[in-house]
Amino acid sequence: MVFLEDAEVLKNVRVADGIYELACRAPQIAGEGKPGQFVHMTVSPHRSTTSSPLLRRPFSFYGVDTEAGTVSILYRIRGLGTSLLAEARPGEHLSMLGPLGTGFTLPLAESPVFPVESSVPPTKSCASPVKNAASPQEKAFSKVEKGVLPAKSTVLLVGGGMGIAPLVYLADSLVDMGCQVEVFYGAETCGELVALERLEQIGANCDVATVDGSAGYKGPVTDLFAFLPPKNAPDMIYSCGPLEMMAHVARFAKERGIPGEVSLESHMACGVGACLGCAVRLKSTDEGYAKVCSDGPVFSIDRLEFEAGEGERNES
Amino acid sequence: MNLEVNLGGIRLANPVVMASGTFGYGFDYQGLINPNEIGAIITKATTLEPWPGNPPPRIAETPSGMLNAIGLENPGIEVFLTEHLPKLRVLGAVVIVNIAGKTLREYVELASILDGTPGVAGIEINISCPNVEMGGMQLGTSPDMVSEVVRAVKEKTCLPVMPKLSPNVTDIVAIAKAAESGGADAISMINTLLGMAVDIETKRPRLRNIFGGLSGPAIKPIALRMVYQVYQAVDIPILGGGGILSAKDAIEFLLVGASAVSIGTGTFVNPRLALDVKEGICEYMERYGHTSLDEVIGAAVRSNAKFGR
Repeated sequence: MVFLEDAEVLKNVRVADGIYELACRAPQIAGEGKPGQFVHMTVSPHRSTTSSPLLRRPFSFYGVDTEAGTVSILYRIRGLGTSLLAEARPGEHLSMLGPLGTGFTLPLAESPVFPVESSVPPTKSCASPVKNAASPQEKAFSKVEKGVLPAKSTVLLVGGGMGIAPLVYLADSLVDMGCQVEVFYGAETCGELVALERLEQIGANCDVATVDGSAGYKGPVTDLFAFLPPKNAPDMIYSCGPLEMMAHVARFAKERGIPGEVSLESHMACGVGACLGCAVRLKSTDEGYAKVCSDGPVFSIDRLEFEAGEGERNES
Repeated sequence: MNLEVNLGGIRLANPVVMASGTFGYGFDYQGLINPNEIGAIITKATTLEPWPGNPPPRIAETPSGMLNAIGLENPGIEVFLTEHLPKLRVLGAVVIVNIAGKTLREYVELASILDGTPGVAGIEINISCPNVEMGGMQLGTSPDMVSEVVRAVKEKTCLPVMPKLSPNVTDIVAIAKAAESGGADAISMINTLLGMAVDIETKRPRLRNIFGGLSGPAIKPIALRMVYQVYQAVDIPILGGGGILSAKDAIEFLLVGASAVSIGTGTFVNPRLALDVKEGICEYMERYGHTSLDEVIGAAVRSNAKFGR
């Protein structure tokens, strides 16, 4: 179900140079928003009197609080739309359409989950948190058959820059489901690691890389793969960030036989699959195009071929 | 309030129509706008074979508007008839099918296939898409060609036929008259205006196709002027639109002679715009004591004639 809500701005604060976090009250959207999905929203509260910028802007969920009925997004000022959005004040209203798109594959909710407080041993069908002896490849494919990820999986999230936003809500949900969540978090500089504190609060284990070396490892975040012990391969890898980074993540995951998903970005007009404006060619051999807004924004790395189509996608 | 209108043989419960290419096949906005609440849906252009469309980037936002170069991506007439049309019928929509082709023969073939198809209320002939190499706009910019394609389509179908005119011409009235002489039952106008945008950082055009069709409020004054001109020159009804973003905009189109209005890009901005427009037209008619849309349609043209301006 898709909702159109006049969302009251609760906060819109600068969290780093040019980076903002916006929280709004949108109870219907918050009630159904899943990790990896997005809202398509107006950037100015004066939408009835202005036609520039004309279109809504898509933002992935950074956080969703179903009980409080709030959703939050993380954005960097990049153009007219985000500049105007940064001017929205608490109490003003922005029109939000959502939740939209296909989000990340989550562990099966109906999978048997260990009763945390009891000492009942796990049944055979439960995924054991203890590493089994199977090779990473076997393990991955047996566990994530038909796109189903069992509860209590070990997952790796790789985020770069603003790409961390959907991964924070994802981490929150995965931890709640009993997964062990490892995050490789990259940014230009330490001041832009705006989601680090929240990720740690959630209970994710974070490793950090910065381009300038001001925090954590100095270099691209994908270099952190070198420190991942081969025996400790995650059951699933999720990623969002620059295309080059996601291409690297996809290569790594395919080499190790680990299933993975990435979240793509695109300019959008309708956001619901009607206008075909956000088309993306997933593989150079594909005849047609996929819609980032409705087929995605999250795609399995199996459907994507970064190497050939990269230049094309980079243009947007 | 009676909002019924007859668009060249297509009976509409109200004069609000979803423009081709902006509403898909009617399902994408489900829950927000129900196809049976609006006058009609004009489907995304359908061709004989599936068309993949243009490589991205396909859209670019511009001041008070947007450019698109989708390239008529669609799954072809067979998929439309077997998958999309049955669902649209269940939803109770009045369906006008937009057809496009690379040759005159393809338009004719599509018309014969659609003739007598249950659930199809009419045909909109796309002779104005600026984003395809063959057919499309080329057909729509010469009066002789417009007349020929309309006549050829009419020969193959009993359905009401409505060509969608391109504004990328020097004399829109000549094109409209040619459509009427070819036997068109109504005229749909306007399609997008050919334009472009440039990214100064990459020093490249923002659309991969370089040129795209401009839509949105930026084109409304041009669309209004053209409807005003065509209304005076032809006797068939006009489906008018171009940049409608509010009920007020839609009423302007009715006043210059449109019998019904098409909502396009505005749906992206406000997904419930069509319903807002319908309601706004009702309120407007009540406010002025109008009991029929006929009192509104073309009123601004008639008043000008009366005052001799």
